[in-house]
Amino acid sequence: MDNVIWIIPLLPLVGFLINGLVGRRLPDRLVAIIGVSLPVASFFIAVWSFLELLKLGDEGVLTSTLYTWIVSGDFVVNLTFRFDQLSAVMALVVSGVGSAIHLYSAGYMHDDKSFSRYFSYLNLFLFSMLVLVLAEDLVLLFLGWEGVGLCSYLLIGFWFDDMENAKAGKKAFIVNRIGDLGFFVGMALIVITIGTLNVPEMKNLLEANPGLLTAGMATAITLFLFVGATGKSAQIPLYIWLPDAMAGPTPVSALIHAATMVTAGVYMIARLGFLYVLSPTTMIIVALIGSLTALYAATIGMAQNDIKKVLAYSTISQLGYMFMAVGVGAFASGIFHLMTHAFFKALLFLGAGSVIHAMSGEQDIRNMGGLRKKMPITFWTFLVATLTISGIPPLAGFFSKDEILWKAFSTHLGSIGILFWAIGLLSAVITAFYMFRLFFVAFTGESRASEDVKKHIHESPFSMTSVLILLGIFSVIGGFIGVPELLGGSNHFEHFLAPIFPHLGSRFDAHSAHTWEIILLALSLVAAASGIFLAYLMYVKKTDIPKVFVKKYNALYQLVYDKYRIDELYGAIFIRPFFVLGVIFSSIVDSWIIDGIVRIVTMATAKLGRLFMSFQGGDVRVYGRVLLGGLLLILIIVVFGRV
Amino acid sequence: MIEMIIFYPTAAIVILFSLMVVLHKSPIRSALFLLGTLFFMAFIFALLSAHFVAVIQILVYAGGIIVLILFAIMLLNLQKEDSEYDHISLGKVISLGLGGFLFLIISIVFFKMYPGHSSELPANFGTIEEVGRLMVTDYVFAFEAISLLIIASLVGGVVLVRGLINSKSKLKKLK
Amino acid sequence: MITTTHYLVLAAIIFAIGCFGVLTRRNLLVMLMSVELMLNSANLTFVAFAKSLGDTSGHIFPIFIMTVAACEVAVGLAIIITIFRMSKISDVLGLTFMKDIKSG
Repeated sequence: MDNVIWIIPLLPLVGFLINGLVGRRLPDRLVAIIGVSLPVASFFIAVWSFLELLKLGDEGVLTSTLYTWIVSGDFVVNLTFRFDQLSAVMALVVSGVGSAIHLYSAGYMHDDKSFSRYFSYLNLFLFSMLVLVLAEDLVLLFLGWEGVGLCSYLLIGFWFDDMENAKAGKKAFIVNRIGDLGFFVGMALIVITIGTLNVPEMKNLLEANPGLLTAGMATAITLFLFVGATGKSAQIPLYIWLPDAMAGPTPVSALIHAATMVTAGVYMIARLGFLYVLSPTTMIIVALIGSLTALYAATIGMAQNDIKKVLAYSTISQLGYMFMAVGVGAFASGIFHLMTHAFFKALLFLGAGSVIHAMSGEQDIRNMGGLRKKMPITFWTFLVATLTISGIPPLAGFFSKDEILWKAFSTHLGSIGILFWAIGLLSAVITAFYMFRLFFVAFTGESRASEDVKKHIHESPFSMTSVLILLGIFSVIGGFIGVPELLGGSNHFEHFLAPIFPHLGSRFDAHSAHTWEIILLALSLVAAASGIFLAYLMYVKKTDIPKVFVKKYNALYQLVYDKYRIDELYGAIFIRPFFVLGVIFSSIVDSWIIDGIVRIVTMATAKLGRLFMSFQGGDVRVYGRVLLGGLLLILIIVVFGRV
Repeated sequence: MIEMIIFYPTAAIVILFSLMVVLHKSPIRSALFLLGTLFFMAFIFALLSAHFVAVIQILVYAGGIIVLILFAIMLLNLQKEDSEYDHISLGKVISLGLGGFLFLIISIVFFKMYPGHSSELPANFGTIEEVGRLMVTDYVFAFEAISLLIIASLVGGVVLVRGLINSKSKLKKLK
Repeated sequence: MITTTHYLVLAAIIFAIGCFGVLTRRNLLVMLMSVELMLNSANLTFVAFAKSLGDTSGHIFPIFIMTVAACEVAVGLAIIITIFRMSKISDVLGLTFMKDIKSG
């Protein structure tokens, strides 16, 4: 406790306690001030800690042990917060973006009847997320991991009056539990093999004694942990909850289901990178799942009409990029993309929220259009974010995405990297296409809204637009901390994170790498530009092309529109059997066996009670008889016992 | 021999009367039979050379307690219990069994500890003088405790009936 | 020859009869009388033993017991009269209000 990093998660917890316990009785303004100021304070402490960390140099790390949580033989779990380079980046992103979204929420949610509940959940989320990123021990990390899952559930189902929202929350929770089981098994395997869940200790033990883990065991552990990551970070096959999670308030979608929580899986893999590199099999699987998710989600994104659904699939797709990065061993690139993604995706969601706010809750982009004049700030910031996600230089998304593609291409895993790269590039084209489709349909052209809605369209209040502008600025300049050396930068970001991550070589030597990198860079640019051009062609110039296309390939379109009917597939494979099992248990096991036992017990008790009731009739004489009978028994024992 | 002539009829009467006390329907008759039982019990006390006890028995029981009980019965104006002997209930059978068993056990105890007859009694055995002396010397503490009990019961009786009157008037006030 | 045992058996018979009365009669007053019978049988044993042992102390106890019986009757009658006045019940079958409020 010789430093203040433990205060970083503590402040949102205080906010949660205040707003959760007495928020109902406080005026909304005070609730907002408490709910926003504490995360902001937390952010400033994170910044201060970051500056302290910079002073300490490369090997510097700040730790703060609060107390020993679990002691069981040799197995010890401390409640320790660790502020190293990776945690620093994550804590800054989480508390920074989190604070911005808290501020935005104060405007967005101002007339909601459960204002204080909203802020208490949001603060609790921030607390859990900060615990997750600052945890030194996997157990503590799991605590935060579950905490964010809980908050996600609470916030998706925030407007639980509507059954659909409650169901979406439930779905997210259950799917996450499936992943968490994997995570838990992974942790258990680590305890069995390595004997500790303290991350730096694990690392030291493994370095001192590499024979601790066999290759198979390393693969098993990392794969189980990866199952947890697919659940939390919405990768194939556990991505299905994220699109439904858009039922929550839009700032929540921005904070939890785009910027921070869903990246927890990426963070976890990056944190345990030293484990993952022990198993090339897992690395390839992670990268493959990541790249497939990126492509798959992007294709679904092309056919969606709900503005938030498009963004949700885009989030899944971008998360796929991050997994591709950590899968090919480019941990720093993954975290870099995580950070830039946090900026521009939060911005996209908040922009969407601003639009939805203005359109009186309308989320279908076919009913939008022509918002440029009415909402200039939203329009421009949204454009910036769309350009960023499409990978247009020199915006943040370009640097991070391009770096991932390059790292995938040049991975030490071998020529399979070309496959990852190809999928990633294709996804990039599609990403640029559907993002600009969204942008053109929603913001340009003639307004297609009904007259009633049209009257109310207005620019959002300052508390919201200021956040948009702030995030817009970060989306523009955020990439410059990681400009690759090729473009004259020095890639500060990667150097900063270098002490944390294992160093994996490239399969190219320095010279050929240089050439390849330039080629790939050019291809990326072409990809982004072609995607944008295609969108421009189809949705601005010749707006009848999409209709013709839909008519011609109707079956394909419907399949994509229905998200490849994966939900239905899962329903048939997993959920239906569970229901049948549930029916069997409820109708036979429960009502006959369990209830039967209970009924026998109650019946026996009642019968016994009725039997004894006759002794308790209130008739003094009966009591007297029993008394005398007892006395006689004692007399018999005394008298005949002597004989 | 005289003892036998007196004892057997008296014992028979005592047993008969006590049975009537227990079995008779009318409470008034029961009380009168109790009076008889106690009276003849005094005979038996006299037979056992307990003259003072016999006198006290008649004075206190017959003169005091039975009168009190009779007074209470008349005050409550109790009627005969008609239904009580109409049938033989399980409870009665059990009680009979228990009572008989109790008798058996007590008898067994008495026979086993047969004390025998002391051949000669001290000269002052059972005289009023001796009883009075014992009461204020060896048993003076018990004597004082009993007097305290009498006062307590006196106060208790008064409080019970007074409390009833008070609570009745309170009830009326409440209503 | 009448021995102490004769007296003691007589006492046992009367005690058992009193006991039977307490256990069977429904009328509170009669139950009280039965108790008196039992007390008296106890007196009889005391007196019989006093004779048998030649000790006058055995006469003191019957006197005390009679006093106690007098007190008991006084208080018992007061209680019975109180109950009777309150609920017009002198029958133990009616006196079940310790069991539940409704019937009392």
